[in-house]
Amino acid sequence: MTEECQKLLPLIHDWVEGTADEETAFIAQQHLRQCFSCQQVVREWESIAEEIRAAFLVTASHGEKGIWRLPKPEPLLSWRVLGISGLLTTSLMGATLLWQGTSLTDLLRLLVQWILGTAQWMIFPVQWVQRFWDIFSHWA
Amino acid sequence: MDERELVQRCLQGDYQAFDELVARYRERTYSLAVHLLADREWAEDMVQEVFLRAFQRLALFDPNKGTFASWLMTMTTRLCLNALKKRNAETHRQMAWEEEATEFEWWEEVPTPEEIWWATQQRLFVRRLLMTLPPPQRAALLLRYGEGMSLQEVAQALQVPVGTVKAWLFRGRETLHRKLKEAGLL
Repeated sequence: MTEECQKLLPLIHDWVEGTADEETAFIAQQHLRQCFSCQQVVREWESIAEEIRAAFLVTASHGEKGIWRLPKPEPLLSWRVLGISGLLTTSLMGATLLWQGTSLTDLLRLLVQWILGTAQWMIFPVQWVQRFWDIFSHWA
Repeated sequence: MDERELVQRCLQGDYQAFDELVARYRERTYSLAVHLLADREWAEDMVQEVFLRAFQRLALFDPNKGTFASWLMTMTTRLCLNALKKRNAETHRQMAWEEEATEFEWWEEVPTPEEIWWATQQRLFVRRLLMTLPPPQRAALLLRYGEGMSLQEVAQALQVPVGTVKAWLFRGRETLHRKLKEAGLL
């Protein structure tokens, strides 16, 4: 391979990649017509591209299926959120009643009453609001 | 089913459609990641990250700008190159790619039958040689010849001008050419 070949190789590469302008393509083609070693290099470049294509795909060590699993969507109201909000509501109610002068025994009684009535309140939301209001207004 | 349709179905909340997209592209994504990172486990984590991001950002995918494959490969390349940069910055050292290549055990994949021995050796040797190239050059070669992306798509994925990609491809191909010649494989 001559010094001229070395200089022309980037231009030939452009031509092989299909990105050469008309002038570059003309120079590359002219040179390739008369230069056997550059023809050989172009053939070897093609085979390198083929080799890369062949070597590209790799199988995952744990099997491809093990690579990815779609994450489960988060529920809008998780049990944690419900638990924390329930605890906060209860604490707030307790603090309010204590502040209003309710004794601790009465408070515990109310709490038990509230827990026992929860199922019913959950089924009938209107009753739930009404009952809460009744208790609150009574103790207030 | 057409990938546009799959993307549409996925955007409407059909998770099975996304599973289908994953099934189509996981091997190619993993292959690209493992070639860029030279670490199988890291590549598997990266594939998780890529698909998770793709899932979260699917609404940003514009089918008029390119295929889903090139969008995904662009994301994989950027994530992998950023991860490599981050690791280099954290360890304050330049990665010794030659050492990495010899440490990286491709040989575990060598099958025993003699008739495919030569072809396999050559493929493994090419992989090893690829590992010796700097990451952007390697990424350019893999996206162009492994993935069959256009020069413009490669330039977009690597966020460099097309001229730079051409230079990287030329240098990368020349390096591989020289080393394969030295090894008597060309």
